[in-house]
Amino acid sequence: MLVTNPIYMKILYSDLKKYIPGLHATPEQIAEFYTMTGLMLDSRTDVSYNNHVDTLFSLEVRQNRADCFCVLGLVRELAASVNSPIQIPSVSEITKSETFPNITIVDERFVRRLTAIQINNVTVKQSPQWLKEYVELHGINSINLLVDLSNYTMLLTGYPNHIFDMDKVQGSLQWRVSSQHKSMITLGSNEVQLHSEVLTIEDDNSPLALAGAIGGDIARVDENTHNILIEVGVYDPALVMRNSRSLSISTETSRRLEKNLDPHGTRYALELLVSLVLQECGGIISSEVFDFFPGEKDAIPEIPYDPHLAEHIAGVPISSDDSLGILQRLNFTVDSTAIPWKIVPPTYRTDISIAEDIAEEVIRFVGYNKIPSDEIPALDVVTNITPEEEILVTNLRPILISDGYDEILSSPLITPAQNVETNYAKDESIIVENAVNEEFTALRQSLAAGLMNQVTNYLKQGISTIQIFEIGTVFSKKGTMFNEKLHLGLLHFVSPQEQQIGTFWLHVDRLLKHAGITSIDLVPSESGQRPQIANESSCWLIMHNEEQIGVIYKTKPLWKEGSAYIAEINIHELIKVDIDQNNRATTELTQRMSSYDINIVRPENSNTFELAAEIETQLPVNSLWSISLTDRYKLADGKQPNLTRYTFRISYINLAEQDAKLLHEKLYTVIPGAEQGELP
Amino acid sequence: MDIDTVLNSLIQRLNTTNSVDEFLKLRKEYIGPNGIVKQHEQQLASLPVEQKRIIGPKLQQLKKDVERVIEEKNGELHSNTLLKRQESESESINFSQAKIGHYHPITNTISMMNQLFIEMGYSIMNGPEIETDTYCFQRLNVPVDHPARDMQDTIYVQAPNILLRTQTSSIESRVLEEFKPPMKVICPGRVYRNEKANRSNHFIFHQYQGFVVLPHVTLKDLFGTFNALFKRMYGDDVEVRYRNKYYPEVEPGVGPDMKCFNCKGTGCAVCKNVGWIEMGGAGMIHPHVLSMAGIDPQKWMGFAFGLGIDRWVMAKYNITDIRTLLGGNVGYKPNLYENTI
Repeated sequence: MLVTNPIYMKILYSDLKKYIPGLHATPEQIAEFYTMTGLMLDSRTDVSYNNHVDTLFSLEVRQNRADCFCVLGLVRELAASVNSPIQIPSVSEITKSETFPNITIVDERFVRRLTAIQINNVTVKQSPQWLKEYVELHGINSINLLVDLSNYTMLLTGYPNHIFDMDKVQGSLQWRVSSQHKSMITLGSNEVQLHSEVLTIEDDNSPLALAGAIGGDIARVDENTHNILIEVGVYDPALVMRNSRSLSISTETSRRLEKNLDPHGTRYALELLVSLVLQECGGIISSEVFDFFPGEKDAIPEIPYDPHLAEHIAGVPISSDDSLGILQRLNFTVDSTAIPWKIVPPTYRTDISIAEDIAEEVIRFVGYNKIPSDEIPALDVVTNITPEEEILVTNLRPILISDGYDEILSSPLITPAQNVETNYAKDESIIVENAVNEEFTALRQSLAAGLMNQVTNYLKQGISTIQIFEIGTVFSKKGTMFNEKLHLGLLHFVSPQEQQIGTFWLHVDRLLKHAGITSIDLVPSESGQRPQIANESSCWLIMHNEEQIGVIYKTKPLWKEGSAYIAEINIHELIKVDIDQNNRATTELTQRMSSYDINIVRPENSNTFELAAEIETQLPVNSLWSISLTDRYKLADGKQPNLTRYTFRISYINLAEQDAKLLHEKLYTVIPGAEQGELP
Repeated sequence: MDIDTVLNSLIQRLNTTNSVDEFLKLRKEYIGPNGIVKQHEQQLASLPVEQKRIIGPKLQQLKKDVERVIEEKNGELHSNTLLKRQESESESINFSQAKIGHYHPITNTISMMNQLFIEMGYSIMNGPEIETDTYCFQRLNVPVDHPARDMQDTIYVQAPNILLRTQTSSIESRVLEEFKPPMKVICPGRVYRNEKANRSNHFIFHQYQGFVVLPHVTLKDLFGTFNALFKRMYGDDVEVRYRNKYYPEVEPGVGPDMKCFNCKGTGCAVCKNVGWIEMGGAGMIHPHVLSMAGIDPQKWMGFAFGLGIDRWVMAKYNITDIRTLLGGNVGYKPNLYENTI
């Protein structure tokens, strides 16, 4: 699951009671409701507000619920649950005027709605105590009456707004991207470098604000401000997000506007702020409302909804009546006269676009706790698609553990130098662009670095018996292709007197055989095939069918306490090796075993495994018990120089003695250089 | 042989006998079918009655004594043989114990979880750690300008499209595209986040993803699956609740919480005083996610879940610093009496 950074909204218990007059729920019940319906309680604190003891809830708001990033949105949610009407703050009617504010929207495509109005002759005083306390309880510093009212309105409605001191504005206000200016000074006196994608609000001379983010210093309101312009805008959320990220500016404004905020609510937010300003600061409305709303006439799509969908998804009965009631309480318009129902969500529910969104609304209000969780589901049987590699790893791990290896997991991000030292392939190293730690910027090409780090750490702690392994991904690049391979790395750390590479290989070979992997060979490494840390005379390539699948080596002297032997095997390649998983080792015993010897004369240093295989291919699988080399004798009679007589004892099973003998004698005729051996 | 000398002669000869073969010969000579004792019995039959009354009881006593000393010698020889065998075998017995290795706590936990899901018929899948933006975000219903995205949290190999996966859901995107439903899959794996490492956070951690796509599957099935998992990991007494939560790739979304193991729900520092601990995320696979993978959401539905493993492991193994899990500081104690003689 994608883990998103949480965002929080605070709300006072007194606000909930104020806007839902019929509310009788306790703070505990309210916390439980919000948590279970998707707005998880982050904290609940007793606070003092407006001379009363109050409770302040901090709730984690869902990233797709722009409507809940405000007091009234949270009020609506709770009111739907307790089925009680809400009482939103009233606004006074805005008087008509003949003039419009001097506003130009240059880049209309980024502006979803812009409302603005001018008010003259306001008086900016100190904020009343309740207002100061209110904004500060919600995590915003109190500045002055105008700014506090602006923030108060944003907290109530969720719509950020901005107030300009019009006596500081030169000419018209313009909303544009591609500003001609290179920088601007924001509130707080920080200089921001502008780039071609930033949406700014400018006058004829200067940028005055970063739309959707923060106001500027030039036209900011203060105690001497008299004539103001209030704007409430909703912009392209993607642009707001990009601007916020690229300029590293994250504000209460940008956090709201980068979500899919409903443009329809803009006008109410403007009217509420105007009412509050007139009430608290006086003044006269001096313009008509500027209202740019290109999407005003766009119809909200009707969503067809099968009333059984909620119970189909939930797995428990949910009646159509219950669904209808919940949706109506949530202010959805439902035409339930025919199936499917036709549903229009309220405009502020920008998170609702498909039938499943509606079903979620129903289910969360029915309550997840109504869905039983104590039944193990009897789901359909399906085809197992587990890849071979995963099965091999699952089998290898317990073998390694039972053979005394401890498993480690190490960081895939290592230093570039460690890659150079431990890599044995010819691919390029991958360097990440924004590593957390400046030192560890390279993705490992070998597991050896992690294994050796463990050795160093163990030795520091006084632990010198070290037998470890890791199964993990290694990374490399070839041109523009990024490669990942799953590797097995093993390390034995021994004192200088102990062990040799041959002994270590026998150990590794035995592990592979345990896993059913045979037909692996070793060949000496050549220059360029070895990791830098490998001892030149103790490094071998692990081969299968002339393909390298790994490497085994003793490290150069890196620790005074001893040496490390390392084997690293590419598991991707290993799965190409025939794994002997058939059942030939098990047979029903029906006849007494008979054993006969055969001598084969072949050149000195012949491969005895190949000779045994030559015999095996001539015999029926069900009759053969074993083939073992019992003697090897170098012929030295002068007539057959450089020849050796190899004696194999072959044991037959499930054959009568005379049949076994016949079968055995046949070998003398088909295997070159074969002759009868002495009977045991 | 005179009846009075039989016993002494036998005792003397037995005293000088140490081999089993010699002993068996002596036994045959004295108490065999034609042995000395038998011969005396046969002679007794031909004696007059008066002599029988004198010699008969003496012969009976002799027979008992002979059998007794022979049996004693037999026991002695038997014990000696066993002792010798034991002595010879003890030379080849080595009392040292072989070293047994250990699973890493992360894989140990994953193995325990895998076991449950294998029993329930799930396949185990993995996917690339270097991932594209498409599979890591877009296919999971998180388009480029989605507000849930935070570019700062991602480690890039080649910005903006090639990155280190931030979640194992990317494996889900690939499997959904590559395989046809029905499917039941788990995909444990390593993920990366651009975050400074400290005692409780690391830029590399592990997630356990699972998903199911079937003709019909429900939230009830998801909850039942989760409960089975929690019980396997924490025992039958574990208490879990499910609440609504938002994840872009699912609809409806689910947040599973476990009652705080520290305070049992009363509120403490571990659970930030809420009594519950978040254990991951889940939900019904979003129809858009299925569509983008070429699966018809009208015919198929699914659930998905994801869990962070590292914190589970830390709690289970009393590990206080998350860096221990990857930094090489994890120590394995030898098994008790390992390598002792």
